[in-house]
Amino acid sequence: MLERRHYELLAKYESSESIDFDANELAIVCGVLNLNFSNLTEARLPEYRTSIVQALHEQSKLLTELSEHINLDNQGLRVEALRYVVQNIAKIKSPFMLDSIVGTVGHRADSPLNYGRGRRSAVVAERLAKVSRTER
Amino acid sequence: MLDSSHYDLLAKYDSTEPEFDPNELATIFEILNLKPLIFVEAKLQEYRALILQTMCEQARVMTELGGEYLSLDNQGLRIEAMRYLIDNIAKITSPFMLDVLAGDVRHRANSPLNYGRDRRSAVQVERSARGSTEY
Repeated sequence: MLERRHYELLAKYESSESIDFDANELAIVCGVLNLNFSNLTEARLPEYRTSIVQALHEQSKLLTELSEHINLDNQGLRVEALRYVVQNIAKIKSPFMLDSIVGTVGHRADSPLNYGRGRRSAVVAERLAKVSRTER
Repeated sequence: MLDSSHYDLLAKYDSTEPEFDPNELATIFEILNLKPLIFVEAKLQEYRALILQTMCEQARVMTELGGEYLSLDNQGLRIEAMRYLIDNIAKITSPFMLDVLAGDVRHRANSPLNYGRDRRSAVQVERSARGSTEY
């Protein structure tokens, strides 16, 4: 997974503060967002920053759409939630997006919100959730 | 993520002669992203064979993906490792495969193998590793 330092770099390039040109940092940020620039030159720094901010915005928007799986998981429909992610997996286009999805999918299993669910297995909980949904 | 009850179900069909249970079969078919069916007891062995074959194929794909991912990550090339997964993300076709993927990626972040890496940030490690591949 990405580390705090990666997110600090993203925040640095997303902020409105002026920054010094650093080709290595830029290469890492572009790698995290899956942006492809052939040669990084100082003169084009504002253009790179615009692309970074735009990519962050677009990818965050897609991740918000994908968060539908959290709603399904909260209804006890864990396998259906995972199937939703699988059906939309082609939308994951960067390490930033992969990190977010893996974090969310994994977090749901570890979450304190799941406290008490353990009395019933996930398989039983899913079966009951499906029954109650079809009865609505 | 899937939990132990899901894996218990998969193991049951992997290793024993299970009794016919259409609810269990429906859950397994969803985990492996097999087409839904109206299950009939007479075809239980056929379903079991399909489940085993699918698990084997999906596990093989995940071994390939996970192996290359871990190989790159172990060289300090975490972003490159994640980009490798992105390039191959269309191979993830089921909740079972997604669960394995999430486990691999999350495990590497929490792994005791990362002990000592903290002295340098992942960004610095990646930069050094890229430099060392430029022979």
